[in-house]
Order: sequence, then C-alpha cells, then structure tokens
Amino acid sequence: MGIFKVHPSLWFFLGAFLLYLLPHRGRGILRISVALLSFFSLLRPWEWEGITARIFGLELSFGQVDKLSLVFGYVFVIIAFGGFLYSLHVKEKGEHFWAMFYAGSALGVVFSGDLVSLYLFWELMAISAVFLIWSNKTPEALKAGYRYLLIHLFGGALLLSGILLHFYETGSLSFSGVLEKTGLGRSLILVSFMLNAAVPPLHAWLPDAYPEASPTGAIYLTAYTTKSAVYVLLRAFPGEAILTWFGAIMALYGVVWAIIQNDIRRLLSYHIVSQVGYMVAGVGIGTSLSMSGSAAHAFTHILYKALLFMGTGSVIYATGRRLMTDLQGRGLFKLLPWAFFPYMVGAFSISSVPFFSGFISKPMIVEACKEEGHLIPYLLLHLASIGTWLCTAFKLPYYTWFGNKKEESTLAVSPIPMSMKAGMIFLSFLCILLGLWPSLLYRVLPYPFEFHPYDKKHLIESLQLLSSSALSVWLFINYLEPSDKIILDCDWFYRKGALLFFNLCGRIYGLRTILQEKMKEVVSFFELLSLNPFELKRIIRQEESLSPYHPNRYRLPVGIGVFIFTIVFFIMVLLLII
Amino acid sequence: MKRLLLGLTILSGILGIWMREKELIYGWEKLGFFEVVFGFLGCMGLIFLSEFLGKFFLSRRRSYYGDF
Repeated sequence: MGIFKVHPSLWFFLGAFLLYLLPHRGRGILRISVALLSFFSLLRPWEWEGITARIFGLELSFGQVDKLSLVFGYVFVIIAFGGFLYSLHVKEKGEHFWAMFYAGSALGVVFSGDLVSLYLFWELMAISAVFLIWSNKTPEALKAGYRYLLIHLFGGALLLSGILLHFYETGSLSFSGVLEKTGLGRSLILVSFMLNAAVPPLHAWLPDAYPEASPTGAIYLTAYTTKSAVYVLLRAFPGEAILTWFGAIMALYGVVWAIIQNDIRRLLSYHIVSQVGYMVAGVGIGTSLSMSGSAAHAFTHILYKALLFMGTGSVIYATGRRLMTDLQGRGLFKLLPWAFFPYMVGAFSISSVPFFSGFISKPMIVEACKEEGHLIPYLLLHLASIGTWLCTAFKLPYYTWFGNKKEESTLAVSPIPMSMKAGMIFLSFLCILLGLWPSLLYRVLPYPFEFHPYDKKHLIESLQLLSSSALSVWLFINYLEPSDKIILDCDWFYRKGALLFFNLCGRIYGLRTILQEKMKEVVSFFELLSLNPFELKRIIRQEESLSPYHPNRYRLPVGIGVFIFTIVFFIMVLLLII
Repeated sequence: MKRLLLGLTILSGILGIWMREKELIYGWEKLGFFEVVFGFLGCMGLIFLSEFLGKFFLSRRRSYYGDF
C-alpha cells in the first residue's frame, strides 16, 4: 500500500495546489478525497513514521507518531472532512486553498519531532489562518486579519527566540517529550504556546478575528490553532502547575465575556477561550486522567464547536445578520429550523449534557482537578460549565431563533445549501455517537486512566447542575437581553494603544519640526550677523533692509577693536612669561 | 417551563440526597444537593456579574475603535 506512505499533511498541501487545475465540482471531489486519503494514512502510521529531511544542514523530523499525536491527527482530519463537506457549495478557490494549507500545517505541527519543523508549520498555520480570515473580503475582516497577523507574528518571534535560546542552553532541538527545565528559552516557548492557546491576557486575537471570517472559513479556524497549542502544551509542559490556574481563570473569563456579547459568533469565540481553559487546566494538573481529559476534550470540542459555528454560520449565510439584536423576535425558528437543531446538538455537547459528546470529556478534567485537591480551580471550572450552559443553550438560541420582541417585519432568508446541511448532520451524528459510545474515543487516548462518565454519581450531579441553572436562567432571562454595543477586552491595549502610540509619534515628530524651525532661525540669525555685525539691532528687530558691510565705513572702529585686542593679548602673554 | 424546571430541580435534589455516596472528597458533597444550590446561585451570580461588568465598565458604542 505505497500510497499511504505519504505523510497525512502532504495530501493537503498537494491537494491545495491541484485545486486550481479543476472545475468547481472536481474541486469538491478532490477535497473530500484528500481528507479521506489523509485519514487512511493516519490509520497506517507505520508507513510514514520517522520521515526526516535534511534542510540547511539540519535533520528535521516530520513523522513523530505516538498515541498523543495520533488522537489530534484523527480529529484534525475529521474536522477537515466536515468543513469540506459544509463548504462544498463555495466557489471561492482561495478559501479552499488556504483551508487545505491550514489543515496540512496543523497536521505538520502535530507530527513534528523537532522544534525547527514545529516552528515552520506553526508559522505556516498562522499565515494560512490570516488568508482564511481575509477570504471573507469585508473591511472588518481585512482589519481583523492584520491584527491577527501582528499578534501571531509576535507569537512566532517569541517561539523562535525561545527555540534559539533553548538550543543554546541545552544543545537539543528535539520535541519528542517534556522540555527540560532550563531558563528563558523554555519560558519563551511556553508563552508562545499560551498565546496560541488564547490564554488571557493573550487571548483577544481570537474573539476579534474568528467572527470576521466567512461562515465556512470560520469552521477551520475554530479547530486548528488553539487545539494544536493544547497538543504542544500536552507534549512539552505536562504538570506545569501555573497552567492549572491559568486554565481555570481562562474558563471563567471566557464565559463572563461571552454572556454580554451581541454578535453570535463572537459569543461562541469566547466559549472557545473558555473550553480551551479546561484543556489547559488539564495539562497543568498533569495526571493521566487530566491529560487524557485534555486530549479527549480537544477532540470533542473540535467537533461540537465546529457544529456550533456551522449552525450560526448558516444563520449568517441565510439572513446576512450576525447580531442578536437584529435577529431576535423575527420568527427565525420557523424559517431556519435546519440551523437550529444541529446548533442545539452542539450546545448540549458543549454544556456537557448526558448522551452528548462533551459529557464524556469535560468531567474527566473537572474530576481530576477535584481528585488532586485543587479546590479553587475546581470551583472555577465548575462555575464556568454553568456559564457555558446558560449562554450556548439559552441566551444565544433564545435571542437568535426566538426572542422577546415581536417584530412585524419578517426576514428575507436565503435557502441553506444541501452541503451545509450535510456538514451539520455529519458533526451532529459524531457528537451524539461519542456521547453514547465513549469507549470509541477513550480507546485512542494517550494515557491510561479509569473514568466512567455514566455512573450514578456523575449523572445525578449533572442533572442537578443543569436543571437548577436552567431554572435560574429561565427566571432571569430578561437580564440577558443583548444590547447593540461592543464589549471591551484586552485588544483595547493594542487597538487604542496603537492609536496612542501614533499620537505620541505625531507629537514627537511635531516637536522635532519645532526644534528644526528654531535651529533654522538661530542659523539664519548668525548668518545675517556674519554679513554685518554692526546691524545687530536691526537683525534682532527683523528689519528687512539691512545695509551690507562696508570696509571703509567701519575701518576705524574695527581697527581700534583689533588694536585693543592686540594690546590685551600682548599683556596676557607677557604676564604668562613672567 | 418554569414549573417543569423547578420539578426537575427538586427531583434531582431528592435523587442526590437519596443516592449520595460514602466515599466523598469534600464535605459539602455529603449534603447530596450541593450541585442544586451551586447551579442556581452560580448561574444567578454569573448573570449579574457579567451584566454589571458590561453595563458599567465594558460596553462601548459600535464605532468606538474607528479605523483600528
């Protein structure tokens, strides 16, 4: 089976270039085939395991295969397939090209065996993501893409600096296991990974950029960047204690900011921050259960988050509206049930409702946190799961498909293409399948653990938490009514900060101009003075008509001056000699 | 809907007390209905905390960032 000797990411890179040779229908077949071929390559990893290449004298390893890399590889290819299915109707070649490049780069990151190849794919992933954001071709997407690029170039620079320092400190470029505790190099690598995982305060790029992508392009964005960061954290920083706290705070932070959003996809973007918080906390706790929980939650999260974005993306596609204030009360449920039901499958999955995918992964991390005695992070994670439930299963669907106000005008709704429906059905099926059959996922997880999601205790606790918080939401649903405002976040520091910086530069430039003018005046004063020192008064008064220096007229005063100077000089010399 | 949710909440609380386990990590778990209280109050707290932050500190008009 020589065909499967091809590295899974290479299928995507090859497919991206072949796209341009095919007509629309052929491109769809090609993309689906690429995802399937890549998945078959993943099922036969021994065929391409250990692939290396010598570039600039460095032996780069592209085929590091173990259970950890494979579980991320599987889900990355599955979501590529789901995304390709959902976007079959899209004729924009550029978006498909960058989506394939993005998927290929993410797979490259996952199977990198050294820090240099990791860095190359890391940067390729950032560039592909920017072009995916720009594919939406709106002014907002363009601006958000630039901001995304700047932040991720900064992150890439941190990673490169960290890699160079780490190499200087340890002499190793290996990325096969835990990074040795050394100094600054390791810390810089950790910060760059945290930036891609959207750990606050380095998270604002995510809710800023993802809602600006096209309904189809956003599906890929939700899957790769943050989850590949979770993968590298799992590989290189297991048990890094600070990550438990960062993760728990992140989970709650994302939820609090999500509750007050008006843009449906921005709300969901904050839930990516929140859900990745669970995974980061799982890495920090560092037990087999918590780290398997992180990998499992990354797997389920990629599926249900893409499904949530597909549901809301369908609303945007059909109505052209993205704000709940523009959508509520317009009877959207009757017009778009096809977007509502898959969305709710995603909402139940993210909220960890029994028999949906999130229920088999999120409690693994929360339980591990409890078992290890991290009381406050445990309570924060627990609280965040309530916020997820209230926001994704109540606020967003209520104010999008239903709502308080009864508007007279109905929305003009475009029909949802068959491909979008197929993508949503596929992911809904997977979310329910994993919820009903947890061992399907558990058997591919990287670390040994024992956890039974459907035991009596978990089920009752889950029922208590979900029903009581649902009651609370229902009583206070009117307080959740969205308002037509934007919500500030840490991007304020570089968006308004950039403005302040430009203003400061303008002022410094103004100061330079003023100084230059003043110096010009001083030079011009001395220039005039040198022409005729006797006109000093008139020069100071800035009179226009200055008489030129006339040697005969000033011969006597100049001669006397020179004579006096000569006498004084002579006396001084005499005194010095004596 | 409110009655249904209230009924479910009470039922889950009764189930929790009835079927509570002996091997527990934290003391509050012995109550059997901790999640009911935590869920209800936690949810209420999150709604009011977020709305408070949004209303008084974080909300701005849509054109706030201008070209940036």
